[in-house]
Amino acid sequence: MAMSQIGPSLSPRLGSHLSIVTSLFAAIVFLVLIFEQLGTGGRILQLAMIGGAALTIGATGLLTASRRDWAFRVADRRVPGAFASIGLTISLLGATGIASLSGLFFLEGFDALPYAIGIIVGLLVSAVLVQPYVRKDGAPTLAGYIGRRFESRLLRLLAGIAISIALLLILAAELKLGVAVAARRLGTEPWAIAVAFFLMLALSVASGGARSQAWTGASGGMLSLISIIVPVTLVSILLTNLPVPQLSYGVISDSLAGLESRSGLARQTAAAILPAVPPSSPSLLTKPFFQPFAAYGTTGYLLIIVTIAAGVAAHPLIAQRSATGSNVLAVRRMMAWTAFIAGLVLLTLPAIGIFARYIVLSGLVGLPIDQVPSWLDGFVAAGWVSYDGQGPRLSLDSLALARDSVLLLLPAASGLPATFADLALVGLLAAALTAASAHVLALASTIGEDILLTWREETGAETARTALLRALTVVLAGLGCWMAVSVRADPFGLLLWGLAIIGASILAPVVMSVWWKRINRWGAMLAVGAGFGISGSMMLLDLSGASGGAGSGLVFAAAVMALALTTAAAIVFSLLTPRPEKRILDLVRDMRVPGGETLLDRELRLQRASLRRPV
Amino acid sequence: MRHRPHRRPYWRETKRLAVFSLCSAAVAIALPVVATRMASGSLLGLPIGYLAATLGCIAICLLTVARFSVRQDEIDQWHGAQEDI
Repeated sequence: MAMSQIGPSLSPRLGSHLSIVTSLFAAIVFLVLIFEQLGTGGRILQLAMIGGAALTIGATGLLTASRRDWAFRVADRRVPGAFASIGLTISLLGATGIASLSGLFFLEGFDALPYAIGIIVGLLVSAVLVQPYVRKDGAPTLAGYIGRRFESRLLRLLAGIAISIALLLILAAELKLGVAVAARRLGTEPWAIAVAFFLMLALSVASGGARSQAWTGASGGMLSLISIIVPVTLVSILLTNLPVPQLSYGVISDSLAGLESRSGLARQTAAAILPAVPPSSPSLLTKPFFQPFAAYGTTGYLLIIVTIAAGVAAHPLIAQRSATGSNVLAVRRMMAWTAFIAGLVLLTLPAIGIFARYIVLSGLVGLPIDQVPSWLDGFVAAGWVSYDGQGPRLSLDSLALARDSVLLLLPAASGLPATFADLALVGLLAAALTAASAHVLALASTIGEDILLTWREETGAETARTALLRALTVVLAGLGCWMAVSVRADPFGLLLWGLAIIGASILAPVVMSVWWKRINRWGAMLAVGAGFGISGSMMLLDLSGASGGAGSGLVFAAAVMALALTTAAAIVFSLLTPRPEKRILDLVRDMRVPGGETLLDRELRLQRASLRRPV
Repeated sequence: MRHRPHRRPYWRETKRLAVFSLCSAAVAIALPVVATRMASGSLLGLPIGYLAATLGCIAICLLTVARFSVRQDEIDQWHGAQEDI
């Protein structure tokens, strides 16, 4: 039999599609720049740029609509790895990750690194230990994989509930950040932005499920990458004469250290054990950029990395995207490309933080109050910046900046045309939309297939199943938008708790399901239940403020403690209960050879063949 | 790859590659802690500890993912594991 090669692609013109989307958007940006220089009103240009990006993504969603069950659920398993990786990277990082991490680098400098390291390590672990084998099983959702692997519908239901809660938290975080940023920047009511997000989600997910999400995710991801990297590249050229922001900020590091010293930013000595998450409200700069382990010690550093890495490694979005790959080669390529694109973004975020810090310290601190630039007052009006207007000069002691606004602040503070600040806004909105659409689809699939239809067979009633999933995407998009305007919580905190729940409850059973044949359904059930119980109860404690306020660092301690406990519990409980049946062990042996047709597709093909066979 | 005797060497090599990849991840995690304590001086204008923690750490992970992807494909092909079982 011939070796399996890369299967038929989603379309032979994927590259052309991405080129057209990129060119169209670049043309809009250049037109907006020209009209800005001609004196056209900023409001019209803002709407033109955001509307252009939205039309591009929306049209892609409409043109890739599908009624077919298999296209809606797994995009016919024809999505190439590199194409899938663009949308997957931006869906995983999301607007919350991008905006909050760039702000964390601005505020904490070196001490924000473990978040970035956690993401890249999580992708590595996922690529090596999880994805090839989950794809081989072929279940459209991660909870479905767990249920099939352990032949337990109850476990599938339990995993489905844990995953749904985590995905809902992250969905709310993405939409909340997108709505808040757009409403403050555009001066619009949040509900109007939420309605726009709802319409875009309906176009990009409900139209064609996994198929349209693959296309719109790639388009949105590409727009987001361009919009985030271009402004910081221009700032890098302005400050260092080098167009590689990821490497060039060393040129200003000595000047920055001098500015920090003159501004009174002293090295800190006492490091807390639990790392605290800076709030989304305006915060003061407290430490030099390059001082390591000032906000927390080595223990806190490891806690952050393990929490983020565990959540990313077991992230249901990656498993769902793996299920759309044509074969294991496509999945490995997808993971490699995802890691490379994520690496590029994660190397860009420190540059955003350090350039913003340099500009604030060199251009704003010490400025007479009557000479404060107008853009800063705009940020004050939006609630992103606060300073003491009573003193003669702007001082570092009173100048506080909001964590999530640094990405938007950089182009404005560096004196670039307003179009580039709007470009950064479009990047955040595109990232929020891409991440939200991926989470809506994953959530609808998990609730539909693993909670509502847990006890239904895989074959039959395809039309009704697709209709249910489509309806769920609309309902969940609405729920997410409602949560975005009504829930009061820090989006980054919600993201961290979502990752903590996924890591604590899902990672151990999923990894052991491949790498330790002895684990049985009872051990896995205990791991999922205990992980979800511990992390969920800690989350309620944290978000209610009973633990000393959200962001107290409880999330990291809870996630790591729950992960360790669930791993130990799964091992002990599996050893105390009967061995898995031979049938399950054979399934694991099949799964450990990840090439070839997925096990689910083979089962469905054989079932259909037996139904067609004449009596 | 239909028979069990053929699967054992395949799985052995796969496990070895996975362990190597996870060890690389552990090195990447430990690098910032070690580099900030051991190294002084600067490179590309940045403190070596910081450079190792950002560029070094991410580069190790990316190279590991790339190596895993290429090497696992080779293992699959060598053992005929890309065939349908």
